[in-house]
Amino acid sequence: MSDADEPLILSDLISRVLDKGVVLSGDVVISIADIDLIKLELRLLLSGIETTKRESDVSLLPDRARGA
Amino acid sequence: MSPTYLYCLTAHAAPDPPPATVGLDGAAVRRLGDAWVSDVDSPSVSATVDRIRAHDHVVATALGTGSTPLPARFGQTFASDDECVAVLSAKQATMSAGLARVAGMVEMTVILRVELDTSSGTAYLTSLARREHAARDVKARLGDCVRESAERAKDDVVTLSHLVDRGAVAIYRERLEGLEAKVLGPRAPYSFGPPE
Repeated sequence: MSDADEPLILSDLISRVLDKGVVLSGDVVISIADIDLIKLELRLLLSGIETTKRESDVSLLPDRARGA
Repeated sequence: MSPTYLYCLTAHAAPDPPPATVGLDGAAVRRLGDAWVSDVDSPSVSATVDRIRAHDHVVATALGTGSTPLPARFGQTFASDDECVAVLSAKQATMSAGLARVAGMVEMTVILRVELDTSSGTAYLTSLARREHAARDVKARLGDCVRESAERAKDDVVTLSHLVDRGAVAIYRERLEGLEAKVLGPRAPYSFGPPE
């Protein structure tokens, strides 16, 4: 599995474990704040990948294009 | 007394958790009746990526024993072992039917990415049709090696979940060879719980 698939796999894991599976107790305690936290972690992961991509793109440009 | 956290339900004759099985926040996983549980510090468990991974790891360990478990949804705690056992007993018939449904099976998942083009109404409808066609292609390829299926589409991603005999996983993968998609599994049957 390539690194590019990580966000897809993580997103699948989170939706599977949080949204599926047997519910016995009727009071599954996951607050909205916690779900927001997960979204935040996902966003961070995705933006981390974007940043890495941008940086690697920039490093391919000639010096003058980078304003050097 | 610590609250009890539930990971999954297993068949009556299923093996116990291997001794080193670790769950949420490093807690030791143990068997309670036909359930796999651990202690947790608080009755309200916050969902973090690490805890979600830990929950899934325990369920995957149960699947690895050779007997297919019914995964529990994340975040279910009980005040004590006794309360957990009482709730399980009250729902025993439903849970037994659920375990019978998945016995000898695993869940396989195909993730398709079809970009939805929102530049115009026609483009959008065309891309929706393309997405549908891709899902139909998977169904046609798999044919009779799938016992049950569930589909979920969100934005550009279509997730197709399939209940497959343990012995048919190799054929399943073979039939999807060359397909532009992610094939994940075998995993515990999160998408196929007790019959409604």
